[in-house]
Amino acid sequence: MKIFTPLLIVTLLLTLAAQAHDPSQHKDKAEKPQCAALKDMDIKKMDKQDPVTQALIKKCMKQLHPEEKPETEK
Amino acid sequence: MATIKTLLLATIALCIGLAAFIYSGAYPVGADVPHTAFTNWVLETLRDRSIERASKDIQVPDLDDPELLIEGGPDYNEMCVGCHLKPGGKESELSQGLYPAPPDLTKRASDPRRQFWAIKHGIKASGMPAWGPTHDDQRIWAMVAFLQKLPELTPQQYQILTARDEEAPDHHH
Repeated sequence: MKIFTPLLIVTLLLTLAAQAHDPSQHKDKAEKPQCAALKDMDIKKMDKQDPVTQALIKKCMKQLHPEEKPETEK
Repeated sequence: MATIKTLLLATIALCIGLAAFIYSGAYPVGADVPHTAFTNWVLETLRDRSIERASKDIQVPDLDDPELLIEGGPDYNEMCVGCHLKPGGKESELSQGLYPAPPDLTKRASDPRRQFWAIKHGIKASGMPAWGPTHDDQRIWAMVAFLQKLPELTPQQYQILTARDEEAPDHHH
């Protein structure tokens, strides 16, 4: 019995280590991006060339402009 | 001849003393007792030089692609924020309890090569795991791209970029 316990722990750890961090596991508890905050940031004053600005706009496009289809769907 | 004999005896005595110290259990290994200044210097220098040497030839891709920020943000929030904190956030139990203390990555961005290497390979006896076995290089670079911008993000920007929007297309296949 003494030898089985460490073996069991090692097996369990190896099993857990083999599982990649799967984003779909987090979708249930994921919170939506709060894009309303973006409206208060005055997008006109933001640098459109800045990757952060571009990422924010891209991520919030659906929420801020639901009528516009993303480029890929046109 | 006498000098060699003395040196040999001194070396043997030193080895015996070192072994006796190791086996005595006298050195405190609790994370709530800091290392001595000398041990701290040895370990920090060893770690910094090792990462510097191992990461120096890594080729850094273009990290200004907004897609990388969108991809790396949620991963950071799910895997790293507990230790490395977020803009406007307080210190966590992990950030306060780990020793050595994990760096607060909201303060400043370090060399992307070093960040990539540390994420991929982890750091022994520090609490930093190796994400390489379960995450490919593209995904790790996305996290590095996010880390480069993290110090300049507001709490609101952080929330938007790290939320895993279930309606957004899945970047991981």
